[in-house]
Amino acid sequence: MIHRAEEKFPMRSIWVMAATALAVILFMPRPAAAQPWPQKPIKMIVPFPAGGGTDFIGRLAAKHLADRLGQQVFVENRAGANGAIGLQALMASDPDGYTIATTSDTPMVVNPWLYDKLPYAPLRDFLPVATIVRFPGMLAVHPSVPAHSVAELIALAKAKPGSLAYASAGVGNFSHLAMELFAQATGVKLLHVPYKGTGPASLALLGGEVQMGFNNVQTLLQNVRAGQLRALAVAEPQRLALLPDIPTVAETVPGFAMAPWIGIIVPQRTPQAIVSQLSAEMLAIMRDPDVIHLLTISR
Amino acid sequence: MASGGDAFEQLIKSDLDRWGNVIKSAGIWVE
Repeated sequence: MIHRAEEKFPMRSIWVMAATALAVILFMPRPAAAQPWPQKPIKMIVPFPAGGGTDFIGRLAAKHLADRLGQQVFVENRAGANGAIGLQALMASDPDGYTIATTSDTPMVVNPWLYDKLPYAPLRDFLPVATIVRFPGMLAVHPSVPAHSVAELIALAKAKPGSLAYASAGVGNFSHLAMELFAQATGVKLLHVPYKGTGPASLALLGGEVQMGFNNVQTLLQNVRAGQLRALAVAEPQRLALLPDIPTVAETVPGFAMAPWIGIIVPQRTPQAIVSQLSAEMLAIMRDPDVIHLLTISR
Repeated sequence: MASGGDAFEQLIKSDLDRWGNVIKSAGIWVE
């Protein structure tokens, strides 16, 4: 015998089931409505020691982010392994918008080529939020070097392969890689002398232990203005408005341009709405006249 | 100077390529 559905489920039973289902729906826990972000303090990892350039920019960004978001943004310095320790900590954090990082370019674009067992992959494990600043580079020589232009420096280096030495703040540092890029672009052979940090490298250049160096405009400009170094060029596509008399490397070596940067990243899988809001806030901060003024006078 | 996520991602990709070429060509390594 074939039973019809209404026989299998009499009307009375159907009403009971419907009422029960309604009760379940009415009293079941409802998913929380999306809360506006942020609801609690935000941790900002800086993968370098306190007092350095990335830390300075990170703390500046944290202060202004806190003002705009109405929540505390506290900096946690997680230094070590050229920034890899801090980014590993970021990778292990919950992707909920409450752990972010201010990083320089080195841990993101240099470390993957320097370390065989890097625990993170930049674009697999992190979402780029916004760049904060770029630092234009400058090529400078000791005043004793008989070169007053990039062309003269190249000619001098080609006449004496391997005899012109440059200082760097360490293997893989921007001051090292910029010179390697220059050497490869111009076909010259230079002698690399790595020091332990920017301070010792700068002293070596000022003291004439080495003949040349590539570093940030901010780092070198004071010595250039004091006559302790001779600026040959900046590594921007066009001359800097603040330094119109200093040519670009690209005027002699077409296409040569480079500048280290600092930016904000978050763990992969952080909600897109938070990433977008954070990006918009950072861009607004970096267009703030007070911030622009502070970064300008810090040069 | 500052830029948003898409431009930042392109910057990371281009710098990864650039420094990868420089580092491999120069034979730079760390212990």
